[in-house]
Amino acid sequence: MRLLLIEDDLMLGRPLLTGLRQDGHATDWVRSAADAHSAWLAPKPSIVPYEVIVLDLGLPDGSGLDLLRSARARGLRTPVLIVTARDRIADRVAGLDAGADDYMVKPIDLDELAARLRALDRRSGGRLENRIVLGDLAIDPVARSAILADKPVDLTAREFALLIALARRPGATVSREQLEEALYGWDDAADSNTIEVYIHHLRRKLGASAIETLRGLGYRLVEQAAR
Amino acid sequence: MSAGGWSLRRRLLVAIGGAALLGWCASSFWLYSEAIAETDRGFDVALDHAAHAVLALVANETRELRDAESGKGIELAQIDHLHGDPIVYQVRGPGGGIAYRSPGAPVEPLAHRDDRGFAFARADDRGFRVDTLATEDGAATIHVAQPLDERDAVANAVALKLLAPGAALLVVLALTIGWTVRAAAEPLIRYSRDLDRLAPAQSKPVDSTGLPDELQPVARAIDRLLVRVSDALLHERTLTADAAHELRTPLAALRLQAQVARRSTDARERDDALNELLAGTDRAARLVDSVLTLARYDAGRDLTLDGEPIEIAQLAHHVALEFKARAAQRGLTLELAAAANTWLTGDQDALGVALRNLIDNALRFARSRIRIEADAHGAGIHLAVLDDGPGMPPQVAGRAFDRFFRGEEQNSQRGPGAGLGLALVRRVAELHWGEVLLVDGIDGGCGVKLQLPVMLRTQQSKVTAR
Repeated sequence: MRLLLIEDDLMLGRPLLTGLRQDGHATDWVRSAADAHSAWLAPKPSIVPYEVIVLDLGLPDGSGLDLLRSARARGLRTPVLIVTARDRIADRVAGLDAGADDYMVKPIDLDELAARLRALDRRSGGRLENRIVLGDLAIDPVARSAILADKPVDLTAREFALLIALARRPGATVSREQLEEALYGWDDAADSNTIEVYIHHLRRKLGASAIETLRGLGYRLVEQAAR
Repeated sequence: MSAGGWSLRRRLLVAIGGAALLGWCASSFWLYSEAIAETDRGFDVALDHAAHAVLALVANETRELRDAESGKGIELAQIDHLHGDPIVYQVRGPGGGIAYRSPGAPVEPLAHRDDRGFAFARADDRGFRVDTLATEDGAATIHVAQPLDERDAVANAVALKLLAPGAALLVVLALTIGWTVRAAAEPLIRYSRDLDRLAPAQSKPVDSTGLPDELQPVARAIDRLLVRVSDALLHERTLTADAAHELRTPLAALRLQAQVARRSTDARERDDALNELLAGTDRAARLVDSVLTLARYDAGRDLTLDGEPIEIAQLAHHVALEFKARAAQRGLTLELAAAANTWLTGDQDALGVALRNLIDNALRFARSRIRIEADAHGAGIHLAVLDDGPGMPPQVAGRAFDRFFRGEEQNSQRGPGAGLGLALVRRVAELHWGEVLLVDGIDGGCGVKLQLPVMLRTQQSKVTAR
């Protein structure tokens, strides 16, 4: 998933960023309310929207809650997971009521964070389980594996991230930019033809017709008839 | 009420009641003696009148006296008297024998013939007041007497009538004192009960209505104390909360770093994570050290503030040496400008900690130079660390010495501090009755200056005792 991590603390931010990327999330990290504002609330048109926001409440230049409220006031529906040291019930209630979808108290566990992010993803996709099934292709985000016609498919981390990005909204067209963002985040610029290379790899492993190219629009994962 | 002290009520009762009782006793004694003396004088006057009357009667009868005095004395009429027993008299002839006497008068002469005037006598087991008179020719002598018990009874009755209102007054006085003191103590008792019921961090004034005017200043002082105590408590709580948060964050970070290392499949990523973990552990350890040092200094423990004088210039020299290698590593020049005669009585370790923190900060921000200055200045020693970094932004300067306040980390060449360095420096300055302030550094950089007064040891011990 494409995530925005809003966390001011260097010591916490760095391992969180690494942990989220380990889980295959294309994560951007900002350390102030101002940066969060320009990345999430008022992004440049070229920026692909974030799918989940991981939000710390105590920011040096403002409150995370205010940021969340103004995002909701602007009609932004991005799921928000609050990660904070504020552990009182009143804080949790205030956080959830301000529009957060989930609330975690530090110290947090990366595995739990990953599970909660999957839950948020399930909910926003209207799915009942983590596993995404498309014809005879089954993708398991927890095990980070894919099974095609009962046979496991050997995928690299980036290939898998790309596949997830295509499969999360079955039948929807995913733009090249979205795929690039899903793969790298801001600070890891991709070559202009990197996506083509990975798409090529995926087609080789899943079948040539598994991914459709829509010229000028992007790519689409197509349901394969059971063989 | 403690065994050592007396309640106000008891003090007032004893003091005022005792004084009143003493006064009453004295005045009663005086009144009583006056009453007795006055009645005695009155009785004596009456007795004298009676005596002269009797004398006038017998003056013309001297011839018959000679005949009558041989016997036991002829009883004559008695002299009426207002009170109980009548006045008695004896009339003695020229020979000394009793010629006439009143009924009930003793048979024996009541006084010697020659003892003229008033005297006391005893006869028939009774005391008498006797007035002895004689005719001019000396042919007749008379004793007119009044029984003393009679006189005393009358005198006592008169005196008691005089004393009774005083005694009543004493009772009224005691009751009034008791009631007044009880009424005055009532608000005090209520006030202390209110104080007892106060919540620990209460800072609102306690209702002191009804307290005597003399105690209002005390109530005001207690109100002010409550504000101070609750402020201190609030400060303490904020600090504790801050410290908890500041200690929890690095631990949470360590946990994350450890987890990242465990999860990573890539050797380089794992190495990075483990290095982060180590650096994080060091930071956490430094933070704990700072918190503990600050706690120690807050409690004023392990400090020798009145030991042997130390030379600040010398201390600065030693500390500067410690940092020489690190400064060089960063391409920074570390200068020391130390004047002579910078002796100060203080804690060498604490001052060293303060100086190290200042140099540590300067290392973090300096571009090329750090200067340490130590000199004697009037009645104090000045110790400053200056750098040529970007300087402290005004919005940071106001809170620079607050605990757990971190400045702009972007300006720092190194990782973040714990936010305790300058707080520690300020505490050390306070412990030495000095102050710390921000000054201009080199080329628009930042500088921190400690101003430590040089005090005589006697002055110091006084301050410590306070």
